[in-house]
Amino acid sequence: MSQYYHSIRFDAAKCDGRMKCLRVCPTQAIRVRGGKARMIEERCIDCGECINACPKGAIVPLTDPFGELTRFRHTVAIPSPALYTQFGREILPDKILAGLKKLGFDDAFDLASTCGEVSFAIQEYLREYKGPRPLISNACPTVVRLLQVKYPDLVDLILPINTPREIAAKDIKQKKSKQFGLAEKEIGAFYITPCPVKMISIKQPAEKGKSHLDGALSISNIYGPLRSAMESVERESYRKALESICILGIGWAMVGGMSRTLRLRSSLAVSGLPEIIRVFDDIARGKLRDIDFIEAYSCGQGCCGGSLTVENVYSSHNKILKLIEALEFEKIKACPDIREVRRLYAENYFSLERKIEPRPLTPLDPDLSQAIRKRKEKAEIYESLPKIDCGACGSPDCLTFAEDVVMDQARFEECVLIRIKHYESQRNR
Amino acid sequence: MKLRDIRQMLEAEIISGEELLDVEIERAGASDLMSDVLAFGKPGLLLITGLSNAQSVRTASIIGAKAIVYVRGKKPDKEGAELAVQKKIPILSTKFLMYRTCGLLFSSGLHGITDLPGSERAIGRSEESAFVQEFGIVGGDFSRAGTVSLKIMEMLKEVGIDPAVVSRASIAAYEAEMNVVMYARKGTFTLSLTPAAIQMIVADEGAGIPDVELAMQEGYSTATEEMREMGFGAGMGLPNIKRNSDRLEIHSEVGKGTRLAISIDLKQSKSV
Repeated sequence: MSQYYHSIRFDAAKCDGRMKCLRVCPTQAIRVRGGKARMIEERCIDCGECINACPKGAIVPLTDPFGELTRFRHTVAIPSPALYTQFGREILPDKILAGLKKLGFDDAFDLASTCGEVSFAIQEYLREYKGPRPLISNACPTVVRLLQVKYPDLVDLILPINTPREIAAKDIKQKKSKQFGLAEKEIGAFYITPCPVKMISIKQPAEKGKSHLDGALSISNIYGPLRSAMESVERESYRKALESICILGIGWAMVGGMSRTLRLRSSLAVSGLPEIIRVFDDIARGKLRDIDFIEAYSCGQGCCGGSLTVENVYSSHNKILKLIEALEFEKIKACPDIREVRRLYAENYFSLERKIEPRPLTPLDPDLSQAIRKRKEKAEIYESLPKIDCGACGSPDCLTFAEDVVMDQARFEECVLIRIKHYESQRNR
Repeated sequence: MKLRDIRQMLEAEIISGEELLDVEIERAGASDLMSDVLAFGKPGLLLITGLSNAQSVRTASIIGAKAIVYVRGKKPDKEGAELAVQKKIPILSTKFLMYRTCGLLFSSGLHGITDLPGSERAIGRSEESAFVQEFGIVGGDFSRAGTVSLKIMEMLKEVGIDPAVVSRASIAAYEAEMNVVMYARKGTFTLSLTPAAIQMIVADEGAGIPDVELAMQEGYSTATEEMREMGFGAGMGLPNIKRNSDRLEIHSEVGKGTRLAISIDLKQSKSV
């Protein structure tokens, strides 16, 4: 059994080895061997880039089927605020939550309100924080995993405040079990997710604790049924529906939405893995240390750009902006009670339940002198390669191929250009 | 080992530089052939030689030797003696022959050139176990600035160096690289990795540093306003390198260039 749970499966029957996934993987976690793509588990950070790149649909995100709901006596849907961005502008959260109930959930919870509370909690934390900077948001599980795997020395910068989805699930279960006289395990809390990585954060949290959520349903899977279900929902007055929206929390669905609520002197909002890697590389080399906070999402534009969403990401992003504008214009400030948040904060209600530990990649060799020897070998092999990163050998680029050769995971002759050269020299003889 | 102890051990006469006897000597090398000294010598070396003319002092100065010991009771000529005073290189003269001189120092634990971790021009066995990679840096090319330190960071991670040490090395490498980009025409960056140490030699052709001591002070910077606006040149470069390394040797000549030798030990690393 492997050490890491992943929410991505490669369907060998569908894969015809077209290598699109190989090239988009930001952590070089894919190899194509014998015409089939496979994953190197310790390298994968579950970003889901490969899912979108595969032309054959052979890479499948693993979310829960709807039938999972029957395992519980009482079920609650906790949709990511990204779900609110998937429909037309006139459809507001109240209607979406009502639609989820029609789909079969006993209740549906507005996570934006918890996001607002967590914004206040982060403010509290940052106010007293004196340690090294910048602190990095843990909202995106891919970013947390990227730090654990590729930047082990920056793991201590991860904000130790729990995510809204976990806080909400924990709270809902406690309250519902009292209300209905049920055991907490009889209550199912399901996250409606814009991306596959949230699934892993439920099955195998980065901090190695246990998630309070019981599963995740993808937005793309419930989109159709939810759309139909909402047709029979009577809409409240627009104004009344607006009044239930937390202006602090609603922005969490897009990049920058969190930091704008934190009132910081300096913060960065970054989205898209290549950009995040550039920023983390800078931090690792001692730069950006005067920035207070970094909000980073592996999907472009934040959660509203998740690979399991339906709507065009720019429309989704614009919808949140317009919603915030409307709330500001109408002077609606349905905020959480800050005094209540402070009281809960003092009780560690918002604290991450366990420390996040690094999980650096296995070195070339456990023995340092052997590892150095292998690194030297890798450099020598790399020098003799064409360095065009064609990927035809099944490794993503020449440097990684050189490493695969050193590690006996590939043979030097598998380089197509080397083979052509060899063939030509034979022919000319 | 202090030079004072070496003097005592070799029963040597002090020719010049009496005020410098407390200087710490970490390694020594012996040769009468100055071409060999140039080829294998290292900054901070104690040069043991029987060649007592001015050429030996000049060579010692070029490699950045800390002191000279003349064997067989030899004394410098007038030119050499003056040059030694001018370059602040103390000179000792011992009655012992070269063999005994070396034997005494070696058996008292003074390292040779190749015995110390991460020797830049490691010869013999240590060369086989070192991973050496050289990179070029182009002065003024801000768009590619930082790529060398990034590659070094990746390499150190791959061989499984402790993340905290990788972090220190990356910061030092980045600062050194940026110094070349900001102040020099071009430079070379040589990473040499052994199980004992990370060594980074950054040599540039540039303006040089007129006053190294001043440049080592935090906040001292000669960066232009423009560079500062880009977020560079806050005067933390060299102090930052020093803080993140175990040894830093700086040799700079105005109008010619600067050479940094940055070492980070791998066995017992200091914490910052």
